[in-house]
Amino acid sequence: MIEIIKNPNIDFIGKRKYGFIFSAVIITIALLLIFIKGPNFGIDFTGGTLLQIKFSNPVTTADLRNSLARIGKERSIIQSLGNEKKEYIIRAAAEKPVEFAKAVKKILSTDFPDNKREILREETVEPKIGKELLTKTLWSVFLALVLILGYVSFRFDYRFGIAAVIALFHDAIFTIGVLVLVQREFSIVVVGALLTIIGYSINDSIVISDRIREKHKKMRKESYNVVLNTGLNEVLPRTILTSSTTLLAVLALLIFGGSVIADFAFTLLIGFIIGTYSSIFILANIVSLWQEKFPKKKK
Amino acid sequence: MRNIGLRMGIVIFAILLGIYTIYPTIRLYTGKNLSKNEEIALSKRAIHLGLDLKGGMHLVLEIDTTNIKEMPQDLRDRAFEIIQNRIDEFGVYEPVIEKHSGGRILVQLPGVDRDRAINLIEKVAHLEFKIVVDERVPDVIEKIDRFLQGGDTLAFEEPFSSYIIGVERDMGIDVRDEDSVKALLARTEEVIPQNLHFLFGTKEVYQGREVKKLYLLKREAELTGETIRDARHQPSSGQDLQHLGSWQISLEFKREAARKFASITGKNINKRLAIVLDDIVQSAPYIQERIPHGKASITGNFTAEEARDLAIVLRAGALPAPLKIVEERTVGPSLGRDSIISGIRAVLIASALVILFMLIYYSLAGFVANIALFLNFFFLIAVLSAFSASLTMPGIAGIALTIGMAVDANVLIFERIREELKIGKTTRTAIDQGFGRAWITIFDSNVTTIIIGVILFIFGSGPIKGFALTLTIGLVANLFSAVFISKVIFNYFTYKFDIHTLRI
Repeated sequence: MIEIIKNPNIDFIGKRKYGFIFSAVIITIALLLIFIKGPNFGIDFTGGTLLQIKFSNPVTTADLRNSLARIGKERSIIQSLGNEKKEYIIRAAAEKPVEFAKAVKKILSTDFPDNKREILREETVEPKIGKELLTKTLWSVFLALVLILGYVSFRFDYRFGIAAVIALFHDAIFTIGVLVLVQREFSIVVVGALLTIIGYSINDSIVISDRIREKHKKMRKESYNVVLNTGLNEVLPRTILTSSTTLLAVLALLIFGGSVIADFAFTLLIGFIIGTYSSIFILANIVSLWQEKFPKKKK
Repeated sequence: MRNIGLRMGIVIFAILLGIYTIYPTIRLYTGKNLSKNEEIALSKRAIHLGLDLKGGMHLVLEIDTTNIKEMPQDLRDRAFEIIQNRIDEFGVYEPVIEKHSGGRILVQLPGVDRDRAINLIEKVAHLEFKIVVDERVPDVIEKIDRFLQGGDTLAFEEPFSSYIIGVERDMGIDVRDEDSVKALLARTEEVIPQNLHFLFGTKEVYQGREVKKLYLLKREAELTGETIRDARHQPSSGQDLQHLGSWQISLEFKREAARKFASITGKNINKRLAIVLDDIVQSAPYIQERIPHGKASITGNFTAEEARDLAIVLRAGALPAPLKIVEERTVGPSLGRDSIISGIRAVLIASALVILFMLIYYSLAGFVANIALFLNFFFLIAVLSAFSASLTMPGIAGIALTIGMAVDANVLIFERIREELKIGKTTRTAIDQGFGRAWITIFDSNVTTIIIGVILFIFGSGPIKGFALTLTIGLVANLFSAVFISKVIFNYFTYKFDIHTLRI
């Protein structure tokens, strides 16, 4: 039996400006990355071809690129998997994905006649389908946000609802920014991970809002900021514990889960870390700032 | 102790029910020497592996209506039926063939040879019998060459005749010239008599080069594939030296067509009858005599597999229009196997880490949380089995995530109990109030995540659905196991052993 922090009493609200500055900086950088460099949309959304190929003998990325250059596709993304230089993912946006896949397989059999290959995965998506998927996905994200805002506003004060949704955007934008930075593919699975992050982040927000609401009723004589601080501190052990177990699970997925799930697990990892941060440093601080600027009388 | 007996009864009943629904899944995947019938019976009540885990292909097909004026709806229905027949005859285990919105057809085939399956589905299989008009060839070629010389003022263009080479007793072209010849024929269409057209044969090797034969045929077909009653593949007959060791397809016409076939062959003795499949001439044998019994065969260098597949598509009938693959996701069997192994490994390691963490942090209470965690996992699998749901790789990720998040409920409860104990409440009151207060929070936070899960399930495509399913079921099971069951355990032990001090 251990306690991480005995009776934590950290003045989160008093130091809120550091939280705001930090968040402002990382969000600005993330937004710049998103708008200047742009997300690396996967073939799910652009239409195109993905081939995961395993060679029986090692091959270099340069060799593959040379081959692809001969069919005018040297700008395809070539990703090496594992350390053996045998397994690769070749991915490219293409107007005619089926033909492109055929061309790649043909050029590889011409250029590597003695190196046996196995196609582990083959995906082709017509650009038209990609567009449909994108629209559908945006709608689902929008719907998720509306429903969550509705539920939180219904269960708590609307200020908490709005603060929670701001925290959601904060987490999602930061995570997308990191994905852009490391040039991870932005696929349908990654969107699924982003929605999960939203779900997780709101989960944290609710636990904290819930505690603050309870403290608010009990500590009628204290100032609003003291109430917020007490609430935050009381749930701090829980926040750290739950984040730890969840992160352990996600790390296990990332390290041991294999190539298919790696992007998904990576997105979750980044999102859960920032989600934990935002639930401690953003949510309550927004509410506290709001209360100071536009005081609401205690009932 | 308020109705502890009843609550324990509920828990035991739920566990027994879970064992009952999980049993087929365990038997299916670990049982040895299962007969085929047993397997089929079990798989109806067991978890299925998704295509990404067992390997297989997911195709979305769209009908290419470029040259068609018919109602797309009827077209789709006919195409659907034909594809279904072809796949049935091909013999795929548990295929999925569905009509989708926008006139699309979804086909999911577990564990098949990709190229062969695509060939089977995509092949239009429009079979025609056409008369070859060898005697008109010199005349038509001359017309084309004259047109090329006269029409083109530059006059440097290669004449049509220069492309033509002799292949056995036929004319042919080098495969490398195919595109130029096609373009040339398209441009000179006006001088080719309207009732005739050129078609290519299949690719073959002649004197060390890759060639295709070229035939001049009557445009109108004498008979089409719709008149076929049956098509079977069989080894080529012994006398046919050219195709020794290869396979052929023997055709049987319907009665009406058989009569027509007899009259056509009777009228065209010493001419050639070309068998044309999807505008490619398969063979063009000489008609030596009238063929009265309504039987014909397609020869060519077919392997047994090719011949079998071709017989299937001919029996199932021609597609009303070509199909286009608009989405394909194929996973090879070895990647599927790797995914299962790494998925299970990730889940086991995640569980081990979380279990250890909870034991160290909460000692005995951590043990209770771990029981709840195990039951959470157990009920999740039980519900998946009961629905005979498909487990995908993202679905496994959902399970790992459920394990990570499942202890949240117990953490919330334990932290509450600790707080209650600190302010001097008795053990039993602390447990009661800890559970009571934490319940609201747990409920609220699970509901929002379940909202996300349901949205992902409704709007998400393929693999994401699997994730949404396991996550949502996992969270619902979490409410039962982490809250209801752990409280029963706590109540039972504090009651039975009359515990007054709780180390938590």
